[in-house]
Amino acid sequence: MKIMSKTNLKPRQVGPPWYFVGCATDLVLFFLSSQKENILREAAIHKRLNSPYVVQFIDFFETSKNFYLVMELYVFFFFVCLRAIVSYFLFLSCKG
Amino acid sequence: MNGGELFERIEKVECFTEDDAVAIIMQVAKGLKYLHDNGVVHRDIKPENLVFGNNSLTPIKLCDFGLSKVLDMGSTDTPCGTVGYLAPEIAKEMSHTFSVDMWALGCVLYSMLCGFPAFYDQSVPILTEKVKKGLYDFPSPWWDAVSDSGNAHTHGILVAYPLLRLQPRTW
Repeated sequence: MKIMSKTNLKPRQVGPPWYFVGCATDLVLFFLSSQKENILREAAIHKRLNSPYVVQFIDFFETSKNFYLVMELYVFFFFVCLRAIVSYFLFLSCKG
Repeated sequence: MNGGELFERIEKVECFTEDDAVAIIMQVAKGLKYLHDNGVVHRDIKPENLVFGNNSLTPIKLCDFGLSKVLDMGSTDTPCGTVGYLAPEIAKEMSHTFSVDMWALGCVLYSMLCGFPAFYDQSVPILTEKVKKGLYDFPSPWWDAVSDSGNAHTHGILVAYPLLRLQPRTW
């Protein structure tokens, strides 16, 4: 599962077209645009792909803090996390 | 994915045998053909974005579509990608098309056969200039063990002029 935090989202900026992120050869050049648009576009493109040579898209959703992109073989881990969270809240409600 | 990234495998084994490299590249080329047939250009093909389903060499799958785009008009002008795998036409800020993915695949093949990247420099501006020129070599002794066929295939993909570059359907 790919988790993208909403707190780090940057609005569309005006400036030079090249934006450098990272260091050394792992620099990624981004054309400045809304990061939220990019995340939604990534999910939309990934959702329409279905091939044995592409990691399978499972689900995309957002909470108040994060975007979640669920992909194949991460599903089991996702449900383990979900179950742990639900158990935790049940524990809190019983304790309360 | 259970098998990890191709990047980790390259770090571990340093260089692949030609048979293993071809087996991996063929799968990625099929993945790219599927993307391109559906009008999608990935634009960030690199060993970190190629993941194995298990501990063997197959299956390998494409992931991370954060920079991908649907090419309705057949080409795009938006420059993006990872510098070491950037096609010369992107580095020159020219319009580009699906063939940028094949250039990046050529860079991946180069790394797999010798264990180091085709284009590298600590300085990003210098690295970008190298990419713009599209000049690379096969230094000895690292490339001595690679066959003429391996050299020819790498040369066939890493062609600076996009129209002359090998395409996924040719694999």
